[in-house]
This record gives sequence, structure tokens and C-alpha cells, in this order.
Amino acid sequence: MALVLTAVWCALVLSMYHSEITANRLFVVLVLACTLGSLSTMFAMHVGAATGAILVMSASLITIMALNSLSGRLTLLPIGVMYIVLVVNQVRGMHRRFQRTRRLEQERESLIASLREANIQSWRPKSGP
Amino acid sequence: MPLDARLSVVFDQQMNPQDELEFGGFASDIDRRFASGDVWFLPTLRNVEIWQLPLHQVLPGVEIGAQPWVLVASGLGFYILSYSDNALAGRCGRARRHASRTLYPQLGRSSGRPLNGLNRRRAILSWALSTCCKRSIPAQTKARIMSMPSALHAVERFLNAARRLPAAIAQSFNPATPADANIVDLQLDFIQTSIRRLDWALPLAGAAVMFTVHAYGIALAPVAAWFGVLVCDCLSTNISSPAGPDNRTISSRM
Repeated sequence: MALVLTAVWCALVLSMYHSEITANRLFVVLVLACTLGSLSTMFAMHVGAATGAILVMSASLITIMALNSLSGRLTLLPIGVMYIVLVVNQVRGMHRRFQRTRRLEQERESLIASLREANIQSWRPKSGP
Repeated sequence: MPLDARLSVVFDQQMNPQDELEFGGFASDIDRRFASGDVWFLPTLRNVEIWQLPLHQVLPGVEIGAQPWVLVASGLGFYILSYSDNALAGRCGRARRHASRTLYPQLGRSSGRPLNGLNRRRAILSWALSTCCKRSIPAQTKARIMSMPSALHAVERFLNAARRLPAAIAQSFNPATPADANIVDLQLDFIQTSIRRLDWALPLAGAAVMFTVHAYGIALAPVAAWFGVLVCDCLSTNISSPAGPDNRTISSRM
């Protein structure tokens, strides 16, 4: 679902591209970059969803910037690549923090359950003489 | 990953904190890098960076005469230089007494003048660091690790993460343990919530963008076609996955 939604959105934005209008070139890059940032943040929890969305969005962004570079405007391509790398690093960090937090929660829950069980067993009357 | 540890070389656990700070200043003035065992030290102006910090690990390899010494990493990242005869636990007190009788005078004589107090400890620290440096990892390994800039380390980490990506993706779809499955289930709940929000947000944003680009001369037909596809996709997503908990498999939810 995430991958299809991202692909359709990218196709919608790419269909607006017009190489002769400068404002349109920049506008398309702006829309794709903003969408890459927001989607990566929203999908960062799950590796598969985040990877698919970021791959599609990054490919679209690099395609647009490569087309702009072919027109003689090389400024945005290195900036865009750096932006993608930074976004990927941010997504990795978010995912790692989420995993770690969730594991800590699980450990805490299991510890509390074990303590409760031990408490119940300690209060249970001993059988036998 | 380097751990930014404040200077933390002490001689025993009873040491005056002021003395520790002074040792910190002393060691931070040493302008060289060294290694001992698996631990790498990088003394800088005000701190010591430690790579691969092991907890409660004893680092042998320091000797004076026939007596072995060890560097001990405590859980707080403190390094204790103390004497040991291959069994450190419970013997620090005896080791300190032994050191006071033997090692300190030896160092005092070797430097040509009697040392006491802080100077004596500094002499021991200097000797220990130089000994570690001499007996550390071979020079080739040391040069390779230390000459690599941090930017290359970042690139290396990035490439390693990319290499592990297929396995991570496979694990996210087929968790190995029930605990992992619980985490993946929670992740999918987050993703589904995000997609539901996007199902409303993207058509609105798409319409705004479409009319904006049409205002400065972009043809509306192809954009409108893709906008229709987007709306259909969002509607189908909402119809096929209503809000609330469900019992579908992971792959069908993605």
C-alpha cells in the first residue's frame, strides 16, 4: 500500500514536469523533496515500507534533478543527493530508537509479570506438613 | 563507535576527586594515540575518546620487572591501573599496598629523583601509557584505523547498513520470534495510521499542486489523469482496510 501510494504520487508530480519553465522545475523538486521528508518520517518505523517509499521518492527526485542537470543546471543535484543521504540517516536513527524503545518496553513488561508471579507464589500457602 | 569519555584514569577507588581531575589534565596533554588490547585511546585536549569500551574487562600486558599490572575498565568507563597477580578480584587493597612498597620507589629511582604524591602517580601513568603504546596492536593496523577520517567511517557505516538492508527487509516481513512479531505488528499499526492520514492529505495536496501548475501554463490533462489514479488508490485503500484492529497477515497489510 505504501509503495503504491508513493509511486502514484510520484507519477502525479512527474507528470507536471516541464523542462522549459524554470518555476515548474523548481516547484516539482520542492514538492518531491518535501514529500520525501514527510513520507520517510511517517514510514520510518517499518523497514520494508520505509525502504520502498524512500527508493521510489529518491529515484524520482534524482531523475528530476538529473534532467535539470542535463539542461545545464548542476546546482541542485549534489544538494539533492546530500539531502537524500541525510534523510536516510535520519530514518535509520528513528527506526533504531523505535526498536530499542519497544524492546525495553517488552523487557519491562516481562520483568513485571515475573515479579508478580513470584509475589503470588510467595504468598501461596505451602503444601505438605 | 567512539565513546566520549572524560579523562578517567585513576589508581584506586579511594582517590581524591581533585586528584582525578588533575590526572585528567595530565593525560589530556599527551598528544598521541595508543591502544591496549581491543581498546583504543585518543587523548585530545580535554578528553579521552575510547573505542570499543568493554565493561569490566581486564587488559593485561603491562609489566614492570617480573610483576604484571592490568588496566581495568569499570562499568562507568573508569580505568583503574592496579597491580594483579592474574586474579584481580578482591586483591586491589593488597595490590595497592604492594605497589606502594615496590613500584612507586622503583619509578622514583628510575627518574633520578624521589617522587611523591601526585608526581609519583603521574610518573606511573606516563610509564603505563607508554608501555601500552609499545605493546599495542601492530603499527600497520594502528595506522590504518587512525588515519581514516571520520567521513570515511560514516561512509563505511552507511555502506554496511545498505549491505544489511535486504536481511532487515526480510526480517520485517517474516519476524523470527514472537517478540519480533509483536514489534512488527506495532510498526504496521503505525504505518496504517500514517497511510490513512495520507489518503486524505495527498488528494488535497495533489489538487492544490495541480491547479497551481495549471495556472502557469502546464497542460491539465495528464496531471488530471494521474490525479484520478491517486484518488482511486486512496479510496480503494480506505475501502479495503477500514479503521480498527484486524487479523490479516503482515504481507496483506503491506
